[in-house]
Amino acid sequence: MSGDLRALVAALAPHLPPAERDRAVAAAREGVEAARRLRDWLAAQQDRDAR
Amino acid sequence: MLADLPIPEAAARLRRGELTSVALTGAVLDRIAARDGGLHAFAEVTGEAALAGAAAADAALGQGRDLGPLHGIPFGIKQMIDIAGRPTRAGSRVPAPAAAADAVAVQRLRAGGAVIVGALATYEFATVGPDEGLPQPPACNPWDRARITGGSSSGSAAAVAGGLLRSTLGTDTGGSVRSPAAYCGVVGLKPTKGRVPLAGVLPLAPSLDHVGPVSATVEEAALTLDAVSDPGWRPAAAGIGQGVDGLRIGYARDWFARDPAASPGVIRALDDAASALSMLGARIVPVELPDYAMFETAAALILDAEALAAHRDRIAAEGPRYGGVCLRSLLRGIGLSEADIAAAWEAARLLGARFDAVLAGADAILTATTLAPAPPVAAFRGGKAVWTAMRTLPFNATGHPALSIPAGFDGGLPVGLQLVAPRGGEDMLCRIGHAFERATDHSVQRPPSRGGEPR
Repeated sequence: MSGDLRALVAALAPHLPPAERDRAVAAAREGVEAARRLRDWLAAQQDRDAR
Repeated sequence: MLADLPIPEAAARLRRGELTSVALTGAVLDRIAARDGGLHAFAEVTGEAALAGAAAADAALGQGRDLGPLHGIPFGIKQMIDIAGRPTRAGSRVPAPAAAADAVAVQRLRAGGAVIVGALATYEFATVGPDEGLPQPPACNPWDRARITGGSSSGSAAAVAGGLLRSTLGTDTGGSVRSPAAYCGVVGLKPTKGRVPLAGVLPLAPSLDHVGPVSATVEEAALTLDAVSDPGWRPAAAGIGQGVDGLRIGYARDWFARDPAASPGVIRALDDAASALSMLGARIVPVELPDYAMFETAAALILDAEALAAHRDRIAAEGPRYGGVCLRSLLRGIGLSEADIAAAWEAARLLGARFDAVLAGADAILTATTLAPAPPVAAFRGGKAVWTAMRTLPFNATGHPALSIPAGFDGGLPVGLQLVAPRGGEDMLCRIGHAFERATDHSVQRPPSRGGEPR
């Protein structure tokens, strides 16, 4: 996923110098991780509600 | 000093013929000229147009045409909101055309006789900041110019706290009216979703964007909100002066106090606020709100995805002109999928329903706005990302109205309390906020940079 994010950032903002690109990729990775945690949490809530 | 007159007092003097809008607007322009060099609250001052508007307001009053409580009162507009004929630069180097028309909210202010004196600074495109790499220096916090104002309505809060204006319009997508209000010791009101039209406002995240006032007092915020609201909403100002006797206020203490980022001074200020409201006759009941971290995560994912969608084409065309802080913030959403966003909305709905269940047992919820006072600007230098913990973002997703008002000081810096009410309950927020404001002296404190002049 990290490679995908790097490619996405590079495609949309090719002007970014390497250090800035690394920061942007790190921020995007945090977003993806947050989305994963939220989906896990939501699934657990839905399981609990279903029981 | 004329520029310090609260809006109701200025309005009364205008109607008695003891004051003209031209004199009031002139005093405000003089104040801006004297102080804004050290505050950077304004992105653009439109003095000539303001004086022409003030003359028209005076002429209308002279002809017996009274346009309402804001008639002849100077206002500033966050530079995310269109002012006809002026570029809505949004604090950016990215080129912006002159706006073809006023935003609907600005049209309504003008229809109510208000005088627009200029555009107020914003964090770039209402994202995050401060970014010292942009052409316009970040607005300074009048309580300590080495501290951030908070944002993104940075100029609105700096202008009101610095005594340049009594009331302004800001925008709030995740706390952008409320957090700078808390950091600068003024009042910020995010209305119910849908109450104020967004036409003519640059989108950040359209599902979460709101227009709301940043003002010196609760009453002035209420008058401002009522002037720009769609018809059919209960007036916010109807709550002013009603007192809190018999109201039931849920105190969501654990929602902020258990967070390690919560400053002891903020916790103490909120506890004192709960006590003060109790002394005024409200019943304070402890309440447990749904998991804050997940609530914030859900809304933040929605914000990140929508903000990138709003800017994708502009980044492709103008990427090098964006400031680094803003661009990094916008790119945070680049890896999110449609399924992620659907899950975020599902979580926001679930948590919002749990919040509504708690709110059903109270007239309003009391909690913190930010968990600590304004951090130093220096903490953000070198592109460092600094997390400023707050409790604002969930209500942009749920649409509840939320009011931040001064609640005291922590280490000499202002802190804010936040009140949240059922949708359409801005009158309740203003009722409680006004009673608290009257019973305490937090809102009449003045930043040292304002000298001894009254607020």
